[in-house]
Amino acid sequence: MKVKDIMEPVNGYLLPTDTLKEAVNKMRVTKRWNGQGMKGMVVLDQAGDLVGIMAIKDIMRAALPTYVADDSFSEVTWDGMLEEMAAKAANKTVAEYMSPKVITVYENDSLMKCAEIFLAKNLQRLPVLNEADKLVGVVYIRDIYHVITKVFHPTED
Amino acid sequence: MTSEPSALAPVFQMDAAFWTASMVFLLSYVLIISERVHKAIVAICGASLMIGLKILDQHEAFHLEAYGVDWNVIFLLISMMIIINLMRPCGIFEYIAIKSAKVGRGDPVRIMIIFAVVTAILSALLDNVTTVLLLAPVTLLIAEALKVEPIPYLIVEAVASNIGGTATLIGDPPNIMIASKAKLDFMDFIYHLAPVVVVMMMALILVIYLFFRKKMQTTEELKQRVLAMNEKHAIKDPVMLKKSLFVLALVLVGFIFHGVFHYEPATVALFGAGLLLLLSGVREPHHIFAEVEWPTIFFFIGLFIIVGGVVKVGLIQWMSLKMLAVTQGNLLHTSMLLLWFSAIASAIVDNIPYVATMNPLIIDMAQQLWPEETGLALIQHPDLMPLWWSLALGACLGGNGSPIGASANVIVVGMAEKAGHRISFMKFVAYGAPVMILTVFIAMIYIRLRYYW
Repeated sequence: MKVKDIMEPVNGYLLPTDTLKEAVNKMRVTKRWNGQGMKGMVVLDQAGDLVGIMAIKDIMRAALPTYVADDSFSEVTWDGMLEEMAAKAANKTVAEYMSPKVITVYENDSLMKCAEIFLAKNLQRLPVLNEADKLVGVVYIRDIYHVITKVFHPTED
Repeated sequence: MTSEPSALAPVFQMDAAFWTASMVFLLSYVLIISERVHKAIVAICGASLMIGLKILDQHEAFHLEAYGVDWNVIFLLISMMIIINLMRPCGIFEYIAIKSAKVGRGDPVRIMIIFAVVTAILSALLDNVTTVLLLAPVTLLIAEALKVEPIPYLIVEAVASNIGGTATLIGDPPNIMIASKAKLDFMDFIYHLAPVVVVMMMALILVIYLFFRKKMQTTEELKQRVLAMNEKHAIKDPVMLKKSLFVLALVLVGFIFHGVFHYEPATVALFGAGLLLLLSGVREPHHIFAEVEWPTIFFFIGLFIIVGGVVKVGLIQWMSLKMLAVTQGNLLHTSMLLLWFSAIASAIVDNIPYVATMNPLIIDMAQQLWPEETGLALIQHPDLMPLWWSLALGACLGGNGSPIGASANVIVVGMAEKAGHRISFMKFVAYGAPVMILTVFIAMIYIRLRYYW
């Protein structure tokens, strides 16, 4: 099996110019096959090229002031600080907080390579490119896990 | 007249060595100011050229006080950095900042004034960069809690750290360099500079009060947020904190008495660094030593050798003759010129290379003025002392004039930017330059009244 056999088609995307408020809404209303909202989405520019990836941790980071993150004195804060900082972050753009250096795989890559990247880079999803470096799908850590469960329990679905 | 150099007959010759050394010096300083290459790299290259081109031999560069590295400065800096590196993670700075905000009862202007005073005191006893580096995050937190603009707080802290650092021998690198060159001790600085720094801080507080009293407002509800903070949570290692404070106290006592017992400040600081390393129980001190700011240290080492080269060939003597010609030997005029020129120069360029150059220049001027004196009688000639204080005051206070005038400013601007509050060059100048002019003006009156009455 190759990545293309287990990947899912691109299901919604964000624009770099989207505000975080818009991004959160897109992620909420776009449903995965299991009916859940998205916990991360690819970011495509006007030409449809992959320019980044945005996960819920990136959105959390937007609400976390640098001085709390870098100096780890999160113990000395006030009640309601997170909500207040989040309100300030609502109109920041996706471009400011997405991960611009996206790790990708090719559709003909092996599942073993995928599994290795998921573990080594601590990722949840990997955009999949074709030979022409165009985005054709996304493979999730759950998809790899599913392959392993099939090996353990071949008869169940 | 003996064979001592006199004001009329310079002993140097404008030969090939003179021009070679001057070119290396000039090129190095231009590169340092341009910031195209890191200043530490420029300094090392310039220094090795001075030796490689046979301006200085290695013995002169490494071992002679007159032409080479001032190891007193180097070891004082390294030792203080080690002590601070061990102390930093304890959370004492954060504790002091939160406590200060609570003492200010959550009032924005009162907090700004208390932060200014705390920053000045910590900068006088430790280094400016560490002080602002550790106070700035708490400042941002408090400003967000009170929903007030954080930029004025951050600039006030940078400015206060530069003023506070002026007060003591260890407060600011120019003072460390001047102390070592002029053989001045810790108490000399306290006696001559601390009183005027206290006056400057009072002026700063008055300005803050008048300027921000109306602008900085918050609500009772937001004040409660600050009052509800628990500063004890900031303390991460209470045992190490006690050890650090004990050693720091010991070092400060050592500084106070180093002149009396004839120890160099570097000896006191090295003892403190060794003791705290021992008490800390660190088994593998690699990371503590690695955190010493080696670029700064090598910058100093290189500069000392570069300046040593131009001292040896006579460029510095040539400059001192020019300066005496301008002021016609009038020491009051020389003091005033030195004060303002140092302040303006330090606002525009790094004050460390500036002071490294001015130190031997002042000594040379003294040799022109009092050719019969030598040793301490020369470098601490009663009529020369105001020049040292003018240099110290000008070089330290000038740092407030622009965002690149002092390392503390650079740190503050960088941290503000990272937190999403951009401080433009002119924004800093708008706050810093008036403070610089005000404080240098106070210094001018002080020097006039105290030394030329």
